[in-house]
Amino acid sequence: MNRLKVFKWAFVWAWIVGLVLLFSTGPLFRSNAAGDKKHAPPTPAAAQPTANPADYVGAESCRNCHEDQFNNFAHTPHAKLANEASWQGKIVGCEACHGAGKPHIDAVNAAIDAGQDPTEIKEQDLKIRILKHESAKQVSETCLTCHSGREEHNNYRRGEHWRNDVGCTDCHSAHAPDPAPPKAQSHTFISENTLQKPDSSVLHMLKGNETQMCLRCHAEQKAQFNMPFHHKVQEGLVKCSDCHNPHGGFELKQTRLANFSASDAACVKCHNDKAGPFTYEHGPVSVEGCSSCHTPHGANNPKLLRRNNVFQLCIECHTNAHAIAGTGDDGASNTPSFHNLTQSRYQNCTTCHAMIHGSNAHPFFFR
Amino acid sequence: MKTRTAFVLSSLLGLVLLTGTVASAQGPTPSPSPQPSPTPQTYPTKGAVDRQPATPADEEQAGRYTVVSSIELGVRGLSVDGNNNKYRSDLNYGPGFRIFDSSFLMRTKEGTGGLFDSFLVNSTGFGGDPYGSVRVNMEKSEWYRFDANFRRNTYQNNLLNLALGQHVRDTRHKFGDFDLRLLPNNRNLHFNLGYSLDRNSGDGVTTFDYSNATATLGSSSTVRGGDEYAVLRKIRTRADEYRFGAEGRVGLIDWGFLQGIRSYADDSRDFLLGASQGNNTTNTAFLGTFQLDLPTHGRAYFTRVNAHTFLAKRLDITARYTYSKARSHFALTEQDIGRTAGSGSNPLSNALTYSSLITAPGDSVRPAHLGEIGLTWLVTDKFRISETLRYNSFRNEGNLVYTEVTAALRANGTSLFNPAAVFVVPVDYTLNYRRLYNQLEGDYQFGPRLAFHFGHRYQNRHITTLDLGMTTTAQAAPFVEKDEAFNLHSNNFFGGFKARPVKSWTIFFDAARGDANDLFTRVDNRKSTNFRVRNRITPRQGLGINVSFITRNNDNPGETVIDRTLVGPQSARQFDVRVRDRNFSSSVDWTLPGGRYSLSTGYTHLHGTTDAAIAFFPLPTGCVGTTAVPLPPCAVGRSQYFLRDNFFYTNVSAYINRRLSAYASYRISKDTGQGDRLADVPNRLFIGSLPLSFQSPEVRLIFKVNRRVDWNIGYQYYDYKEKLSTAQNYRAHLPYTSLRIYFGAGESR
Repeated sequence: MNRLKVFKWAFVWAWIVGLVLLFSTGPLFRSNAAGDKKHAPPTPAAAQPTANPADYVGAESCRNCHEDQFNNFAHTPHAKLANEASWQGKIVGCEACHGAGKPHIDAVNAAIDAGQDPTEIKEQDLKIRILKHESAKQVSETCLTCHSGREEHNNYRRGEHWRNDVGCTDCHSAHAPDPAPPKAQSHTFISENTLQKPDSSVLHMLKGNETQMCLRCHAEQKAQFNMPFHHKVQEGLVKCSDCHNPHGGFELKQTRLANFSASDAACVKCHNDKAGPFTYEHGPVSVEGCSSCHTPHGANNPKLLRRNNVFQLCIECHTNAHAIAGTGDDGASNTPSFHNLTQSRYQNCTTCHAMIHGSNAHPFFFR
Repeated sequence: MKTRTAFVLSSLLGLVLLTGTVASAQGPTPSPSPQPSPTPQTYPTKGAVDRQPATPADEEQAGRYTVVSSIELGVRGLSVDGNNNKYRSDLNYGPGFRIFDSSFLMRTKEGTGGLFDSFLVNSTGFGGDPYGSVRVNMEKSEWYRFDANFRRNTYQNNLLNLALGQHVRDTRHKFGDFDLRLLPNNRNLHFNLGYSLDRNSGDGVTTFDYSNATATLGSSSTVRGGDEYAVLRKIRTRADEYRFGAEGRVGLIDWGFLQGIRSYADDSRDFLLGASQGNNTTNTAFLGTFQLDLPTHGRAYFTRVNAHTFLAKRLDITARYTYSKARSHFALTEQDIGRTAGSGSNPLSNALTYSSLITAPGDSVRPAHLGEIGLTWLVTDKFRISETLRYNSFRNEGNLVYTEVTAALRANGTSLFNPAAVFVVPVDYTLNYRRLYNQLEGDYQFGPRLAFHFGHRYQNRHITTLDLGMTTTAQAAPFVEKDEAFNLHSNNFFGGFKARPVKSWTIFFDAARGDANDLFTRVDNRKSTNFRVRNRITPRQGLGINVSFITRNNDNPGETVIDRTLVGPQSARQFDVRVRDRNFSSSVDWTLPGGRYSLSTGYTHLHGTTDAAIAFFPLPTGCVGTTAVPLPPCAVGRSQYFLRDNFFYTNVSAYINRRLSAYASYRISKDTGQGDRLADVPNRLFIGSLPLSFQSPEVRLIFKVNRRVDWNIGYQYYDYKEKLSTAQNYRAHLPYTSLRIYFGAGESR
């Protein structure tokens, strides 16, 4: 049994054991009721059937003590839901996420009456939900209660960020964050949004400029975006979210591949001369995608190619073992015998095969 | 090419601007604010008076709105030593007056406004730089939200190490998206309208292989023996896309619908201004006249419906179906007059002079279906299971009628075809694709500090191709040139965890093991083992450290086959591919308390090696020898590629005093490539890499002239050096000076 099989069987057994445990020892998962309650999937107060409606006191009550947060929040779309007819009767504002405010206010007032400094009250005595102590998934569940209905967000629970426990509030601030203080920044790269220079990340309640936030974690891509050839993301021409859906998607790497096309929609949206359909499609473009030959973020090689010598890129696919063996020639064909690859003429495949992405007029992509 | 003149002119302009700025600084401020100016002695701590976020009181007032705005404009100089074409292909920043960026935000002080609640315009590099974008966001939350994004790219590609330096582009690419959402916050119903445009135009050079191109479908044995010619290309493509749709909620179901149409046109044409000898100037081939028009126009319709529900707060179900149908029409017209190279002891006497007229009208169509279902079951509050199923298929079918009329004369004046050869070749090419993808995964949350996930992916792809054609009009039935069918399966297992051993340290780990399939691209992975570890350490506020390590092993064992191309004992060979990636990244972001100084630095090493067996032909006659006429064993070799990229960056920002801020940055990307390894072509070893260094230091000083004006002066330097050739090296100096003018919140600084 090879290692892959061992690995497969280990996973299969892990699933079986996990499911048996799940169904046979259900109480095991429910035993820590208090703990579960502490980390219960939070829902907006509006959706909590057990909450006492009288406990909801409105965001203005929060303003008395949390004025800075209130002022920032007042500019956000969250703050404007109270005016929406379709949200009438729902709990909106601070209490939608933090829960009913009255117990919290009562607890704080009681502490003040007892002569205690309200800033020194223990968090567990504050009787309010403090999201910063909760896991990324728990916080995200709160957001998804309202945001999961839209196509853009529908796959968050199955996305890469979810899988790696990156939550909504790792990138967004529900209050709208304080604008960053001004500081000197690069001349050619887009700079962080600041107090004097807001950008659309402010409206989307992002904690910072989108590109810079992504690159903080995705350092490999940051290096690629600094290679001589790169998509001009740091320069502001394109954004990460032009090609990826940060909120999840059906595709791997959350790419926007399949919005309406069979091929790489994210690529051909701008490179529309590669979209086809062509009479003669180059198989990998249609079937494997653009990244078969190109590194999308950046490369030292021209045209973001995976090889600096084009013929190496071509011939690594156009080596057909079956044809060599004389047992068939399915798949990428071998180069014809007159292609003397020691000559520069044949090392520059695209001088003849100039329409390599697909052609309407020639099966070998000559025109 | 050097641009000293532009450099000097720009510098002079800068001086003029500087003089104007200083003069302006000495005058009264244009619009005094009632706010007191910041206390000079105030240290710039966060929350201190001169660094506080804007409040309505210190923003510009415009009725019910507050305004925050700034614009930076100035001049840039440019001096390039070395290969200017390569500089323009990489960077393309030019000299002269620029609007570097601008930002304008207008929003209601409280509640809702009149026409809009917020209106934001941002632009970057739009005033003359090669990468310009303008983004507009406008919203009145009860009624609409409008997002626009318009971009402009001055694209240049003129490189010596691609297609013999003969594939050149100098184009202006404009593209944008405009989306209007009506009733954006209405949870029961809202509408989406959208428009996207794409325009690409300019000049270029491409290459054309005349006689092989005509020979393929025409007179292959008689006309072959030509050359490749650099020809001019006038590029003109355009696309317009219109979308409308709606989203809403009925009962427990969130639903969505989108209908769109995209029309596109490619009216590019290739031509030759004068006779060309081609790339091989020693043979007798030439191309006298050449013109190729291949206008291609088409439309794509697409429809998407989606639904989502979350039942009993336990079961999340998402479904989406997309159908699209793209159809394009084209009509090739090509006129050529030229001469082939000829062959034998007297090539000229064997050369053919010919004139061709080629037409090929046709169309191609691609209907595509895509169905997707995602389920997430929140089994407990901590344990979830997710299932994703996708099915997509498309069928690409192209039809054309290729007609070639060729008149060919031998050197002695006799005609090869009398009076001309006419080939009419109906062609029908079809590519069918079906793909089934399934992913099952689970994740378990032990608490805020520990979460696991694990899962399995399965994929099945079914691909068929069919190429029908006829060689002559006299042929009774079409022949099948190539008919292929593939059925491919792959499995992948993955898992990982996120852990926070201590409050300030978070570890992300994931691993994947499995296989992929590689119908066309055997360089892609077959059996892969990937690991990724990422650490985020935040020992104190303002200090963040990231360390990550990624390994990817992709092995395509290929086929063990008997190599029949060899003469003598035929041996078993393995046509394998091995890909190894080892990537390491680390970074430190440190902001001193108060934000006076900040440092961001990092190092990334990208280490990639590919080693692939290849079949190739170093001799014109091929490598199939016989025992009677043995040829050296020549058909099998190896292709290796090395990436050893080291990227280091450091950025420092300093708030020196309330009048002066500074920024310094240094970035270097250095690829050592293959190192000491050497290609050994006689022994069939090809090695590829592009060892180079690309570095860019940058400094910038900001002088606060008054509450509304900053004066910036800076300098950027780019140095590109290849190790194996100096032909594309360049050094670019980009000094600049600019003014940033604030309205609104700038007064609070």
